[in-house]
Amino acid sequence: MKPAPFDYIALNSIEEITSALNEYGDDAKILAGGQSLVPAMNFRLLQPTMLLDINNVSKLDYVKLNGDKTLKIGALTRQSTIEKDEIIKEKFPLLHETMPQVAHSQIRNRGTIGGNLAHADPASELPAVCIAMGAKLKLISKEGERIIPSSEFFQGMFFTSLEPNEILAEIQIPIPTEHSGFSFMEFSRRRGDYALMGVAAVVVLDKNNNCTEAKLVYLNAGDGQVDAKKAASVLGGEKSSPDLFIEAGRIASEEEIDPFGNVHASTSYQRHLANILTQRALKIAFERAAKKEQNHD
Amino acid sequence: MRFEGKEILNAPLDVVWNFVTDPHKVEACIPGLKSLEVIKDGKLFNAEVEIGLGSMKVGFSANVEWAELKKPIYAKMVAHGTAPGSAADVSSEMKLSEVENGVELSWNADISIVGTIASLAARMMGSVTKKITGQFFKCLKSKIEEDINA
Amino acid sequence: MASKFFGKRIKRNEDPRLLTGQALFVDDVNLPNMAHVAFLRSPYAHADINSINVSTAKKREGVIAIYTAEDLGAYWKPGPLLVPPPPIERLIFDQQTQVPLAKNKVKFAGEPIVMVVAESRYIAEDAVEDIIVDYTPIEAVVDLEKGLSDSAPVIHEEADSNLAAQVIQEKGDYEIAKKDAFKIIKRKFLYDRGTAAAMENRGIVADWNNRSGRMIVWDTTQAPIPIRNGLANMLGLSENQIRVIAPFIGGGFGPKIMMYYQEEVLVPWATMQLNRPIKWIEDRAENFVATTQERGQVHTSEIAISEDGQILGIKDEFLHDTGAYIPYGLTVPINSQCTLLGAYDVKHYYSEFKAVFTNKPIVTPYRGAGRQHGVFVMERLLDIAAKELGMDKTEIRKRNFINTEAYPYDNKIIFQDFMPLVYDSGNQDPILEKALDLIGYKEFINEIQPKLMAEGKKVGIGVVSYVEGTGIGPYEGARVQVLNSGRISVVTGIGTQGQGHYTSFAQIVADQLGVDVTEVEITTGDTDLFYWGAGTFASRGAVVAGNAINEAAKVVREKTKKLAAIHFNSNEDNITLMDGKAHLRDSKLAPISLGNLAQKANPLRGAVAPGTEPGLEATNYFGPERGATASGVHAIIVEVDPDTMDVDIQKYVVVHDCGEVINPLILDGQIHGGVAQGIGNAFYEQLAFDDNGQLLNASFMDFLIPTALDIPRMTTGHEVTPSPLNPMGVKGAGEAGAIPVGPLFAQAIEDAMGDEDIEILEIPLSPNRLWEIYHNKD
Repeated sequence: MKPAPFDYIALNSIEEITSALNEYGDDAKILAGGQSLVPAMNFRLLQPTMLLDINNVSKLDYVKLNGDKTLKIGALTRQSTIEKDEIIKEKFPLLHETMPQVAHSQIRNRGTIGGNLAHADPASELPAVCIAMGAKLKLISKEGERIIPSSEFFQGMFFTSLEPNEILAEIQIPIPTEHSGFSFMEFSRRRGDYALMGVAAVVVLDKNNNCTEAKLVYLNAGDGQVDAKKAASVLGGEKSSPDLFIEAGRIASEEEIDPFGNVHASTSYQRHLANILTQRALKIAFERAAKKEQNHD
Repeated sequence: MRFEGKEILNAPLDVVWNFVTDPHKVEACIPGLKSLEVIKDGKLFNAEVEIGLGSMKVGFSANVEWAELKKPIYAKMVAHGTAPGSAADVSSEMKLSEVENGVELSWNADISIVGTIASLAARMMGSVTKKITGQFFKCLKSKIEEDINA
Repeated sequence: MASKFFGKRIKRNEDPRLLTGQALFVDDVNLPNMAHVAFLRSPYAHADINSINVSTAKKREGVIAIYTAEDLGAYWKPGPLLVPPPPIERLIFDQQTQVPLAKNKVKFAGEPIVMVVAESRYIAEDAVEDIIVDYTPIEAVVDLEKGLSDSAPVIHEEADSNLAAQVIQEKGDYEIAKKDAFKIIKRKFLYDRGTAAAMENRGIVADWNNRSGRMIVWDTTQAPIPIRNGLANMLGLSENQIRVIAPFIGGGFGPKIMMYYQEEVLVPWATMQLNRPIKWIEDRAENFVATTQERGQVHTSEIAISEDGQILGIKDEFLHDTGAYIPYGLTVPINSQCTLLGAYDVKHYYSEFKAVFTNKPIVTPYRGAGRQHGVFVMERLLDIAAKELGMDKTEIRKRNFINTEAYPYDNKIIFQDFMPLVYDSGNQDPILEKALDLIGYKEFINEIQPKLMAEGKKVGIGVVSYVEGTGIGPYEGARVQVLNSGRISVVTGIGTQGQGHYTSFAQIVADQLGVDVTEVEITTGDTDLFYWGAGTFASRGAVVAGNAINEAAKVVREKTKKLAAIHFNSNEDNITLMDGKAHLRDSKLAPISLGNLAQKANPLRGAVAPGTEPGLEATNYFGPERGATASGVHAIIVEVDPDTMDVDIQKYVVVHDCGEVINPLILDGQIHGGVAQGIGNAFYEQLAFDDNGQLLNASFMDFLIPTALDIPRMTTGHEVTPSPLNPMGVKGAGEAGAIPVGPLFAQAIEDAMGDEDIEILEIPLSPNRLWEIYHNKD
């Protein structure tokens, strides 16, 4: 388990990164936390000829709340930093609650949010959560920058809309509306494993506790993250009820997700889990949204 | 792993047949094709392909053989590919039949992968293979229809 | 014997070294000019090799040598048969042992075909990618039943079928039991494969020195002495030309037994070819296919039972997956056959097994070594019988336990050590009672469970019993010596893989010689320091090596007292050894330190008296007549989430009887580790082979070993029934934790789910599998 030969450059600034990407493009891989890249190289499933190490580029490592509206996270921010961040804990609880379920603490100490998102693993928690939160992603190249919704960034298993000369630089997350509730639920064999199934649920309720907006995003449920719009739509205008959640779970698990199965879970078990997790997640999300509503009255 | 599917092609049967059995036409649909070499015309080919999804890429060197050709309705292709530490064997059948609005191409593919890829990347192997196979036949449809319209 | 240390919870002498990274492991051995090895392994489980092209690889810079089977010349031959089949009538055995490199055919995915030696492991692995092998795949034999059918491809071409062995053992006449039975219960049971997954993979460094004509081999083996003897034989050297060192090893669990693995015989050969030290360290991906595995069996079993729950007889026919070769003989299936009977008085037993060659990695003992399967079958049959008779599951066990007075108890069949399976001792009732007490059995079934069930919770309890044949021969030896410093040196031939030998052995000697336990230095696993022995396996270290050490220490004690008596001009009966000194009882004379006595025993002037030897030293050997029988009961309380079918362990109790306990702390560690491995086997670990014999989960990403977060706290209790077969009265404990966890899980989950129609007849389980069993029945 030794990697095939490769060249390596340590870069010190964003300008150096974009120049290097321009020069090496598709042959190069960016080394951030290395938690997915390095094992794949050691297994020789990945044999890049050039590694661009961005760990010295501290300008990509930050968490800040911009004008009380948008959270901005630099792509090089370690997952453990996000997990422990007080602002995120207070104002972005969905992200905060998801973090401990992203692999193990040793991996989160090295792994970066940008590396995780750019890898676009359909079984990963953060892409699903980014879509559920309506996050936008800032991509930079020598030509300039562009900002795209995360739902457009993820293009299926290990595919993103990053061009070979681009790097993911920043994650922008809008602050949740006041009357929203959320839940992240996953089922894995051991703590820290890839989930056999997972869902991020976000609901917004009006004053009468009727649902005005809902989002259900599944992980390890298909080729990419599955944004179950049909299941979410049945929640519109409705109040919390077990029957409602059963119906949403049924639609998402039977009609929208397309899991492939693996050595730990058959596709039918994955669908069953999606159904169960949907019901559990929605119950909590509705409760949380309703509580907030009461607090404001 | 066995996959199967159907595509309805808006093209005459002989055009479809000629297209799918001509490696130089099909090559546009082979994902990650680096080179294609005809060893025995209409029978045996060598292909270098880089199969992957997004960041994951593995180079395969493959022999492809038409095991059976029943013009213009049935073709069976057998391929054997090797990558460092891994090997893949594919057996694929295509059946063509005329239907109301063109030609129905029904296909199946038995794919077995052994070695490192199978043992270390099993979590994604199934869906990657399924995706690539599906894309290939979808691509055939669009290329053939493009050809007709061109 | 005074016991200041024996029986005490003493912290381990070796831990400071291990925990601060100061211990030597094989991969720590780095020698000047050392070359590195990588292997090209077959991706196919079953294929003909048409050609091997190494020309590009040979040209790669940094490549030193490349060897295929052809290049090995006369050295290429099948490995030795390590354990011949036992002397059982009508036995069939097809001796097929592994070859160093596959020649014309590969028989499992992972089998080595080409050995590359290079300046670094990186270069060696690059060169492996340069090699082109042309294969013709053959249908793989994966399923045991299909493997024996006439249409199955035959793996070993010179044989007519894939039958590796067939053994029938009988006690009494099962047909009589069947005739008298109130009920006959018949079921099919499945126990699938797992791998030991030791923390340290295998590794070997071999260094041949042309000038001295000697070779040093550092090897992750549990049995360095047999490895030395075997290598000498294969390489045409004398035993004295090879020194095998088994340094600290990060877990043995059986697969590191004297296997003469392909790599283990190739690296010492290559160092002689190249006259350079050579290292090969197995990586994790290799470990999943190249190290031996265990567990795959399919049993068809029946129990003949009386109306009041007496076992009248058992009939068990099973298929055993032995993998592509059978170098370790029949130890595993014989253990299954013998351990099935458990602590129960079974008058009539018919057992027949067929071992089957498959295109999968070789099967050899792994912690439990076949015992799990037997225990699973018996305990499940008793559960089902209890259910059908409307009897409490603990009651049916009590009714069938062998009476304490009936020990030694003869099962009238042959065990893995070729001796009759005679249980030396046992006392089951108090073990069960203590376990029921610790788990709170009555309270749980009468109060807690009904209450929680009424709340909609699915909680269940499991209680199972087992015996473990431990501490088999042939023998071990030890040399105990008082050093000039007064410290004590103990050398024994067995290897150590984390069992705490540096402490438990030291405790034995410290008591005998009256020194502190930290004053005793233990050396294991160096064939230059101790010539004779077998190895660490079959829960035998403490029993066999422990008693040899004890006997040697006794001789040294007598020698020391004798010399002290001369020093004090007194009688040796008046000498007491204490605090590292010899004291003259009831005397004001200053005591003399053991170090001084050691120096006196090796005088520079004067003569050693005729008939005596220099030094305070003794070598002794111990060989038990047969194995010592340990036994125990495990109990568990689980809660099942009926939606996901995840299982949460709420309480785990082990009550164990391994005779006299040398160190309860180390024993607890053995039990805890064993249970963790057992839980892994029962609920997490499964080697997923596809129809091509391809392993689909060869990494820790997909092969799930339970972590500290998945293992519950355990409560342990001990009963002591000393073994009459050794002076210390000890029994082995190495495998006990791992053995009965499968049936325990199955029983507790069934109890929690409360669905009378559903039975769990297989291991391993998983939430997915349980969901299929309970919710998706077809």
